[in-house]
Amino acid sequence: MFNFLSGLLLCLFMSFQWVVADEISQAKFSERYDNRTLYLQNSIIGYNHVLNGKLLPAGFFGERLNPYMKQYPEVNSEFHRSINYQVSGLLLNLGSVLYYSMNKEKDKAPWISFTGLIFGISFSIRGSNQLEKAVWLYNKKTLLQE
Amino acid sequence: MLKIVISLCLVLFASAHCFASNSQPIDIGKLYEQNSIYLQSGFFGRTFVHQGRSHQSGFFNSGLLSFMRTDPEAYTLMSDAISRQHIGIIIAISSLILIPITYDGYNNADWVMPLSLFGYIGGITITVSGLNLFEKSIWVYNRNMLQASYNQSLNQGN
Repeated sequence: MFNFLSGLLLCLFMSFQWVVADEISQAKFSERYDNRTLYLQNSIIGYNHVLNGKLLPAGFFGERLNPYMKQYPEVNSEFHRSINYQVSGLLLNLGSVLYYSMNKEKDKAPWISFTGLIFGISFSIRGSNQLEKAVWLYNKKTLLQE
Repeated sequence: MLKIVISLCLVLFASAHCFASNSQPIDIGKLYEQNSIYLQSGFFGRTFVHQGRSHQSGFFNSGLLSFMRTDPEAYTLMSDAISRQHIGIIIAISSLILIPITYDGYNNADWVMPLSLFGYIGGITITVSGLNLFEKSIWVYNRNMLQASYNQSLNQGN
């Protein structure tokens, strides 16, 4: 009788341990998401980011996210592509405006400037999209890390 | 003797149950890819990417909003974000329109330019706060969807 009862108790204890372990892992998983993942915020000059409930600066192109992004090669390449696109876009936009202001009298100036602006805006949009994707990828990688 | 065998069997059964539940770890990466979304912008409005495919956010983000209906918390945040953006844009455009409307052919009244500038800056600020809430609602949606699918996987494992 004693052996049977001890076996039953052991069985109950192990089942309890198993259930408790799952509950802890659920809580840990939620905690991991809240503490490790980040999301972007816009500011007057560039980006901010929220990590662990705190609002932190991310730089004009999001370049201050580099310490996070460089941890994972796949994320890092997306991130640097994003910065390159954004810088190229800004240079093209500024160049187009500057070119038009210096060559107003030329017939082709508006068209050249307009084309430059279209490319510049496209590059900027592409860059911000790459940044969104890089943040999404970073969140995935950081969740997977033990 | 029989009782010992039964108790041993119970212990073995419990142990096997425990090991079986831990033998297949949950693939968090796969759950993340299946359940999370991220935003993308374009010349003609926003899109969002879900399971590697791009979806149109729809007219005034109605498509994205209906997609988020599954999570009430994110849905509420998203509704607020969209409302804020609309209010901000309306205030900013109205402030700009005020200048030509009040122009009498020679000049504007003294109060027009400061009010217009104040309205424009206020409108843009409200729009940006709406955009930021938009980003947060996506993050909350991803968290809740991921948590729900993770819990579901745990229960299926049980």
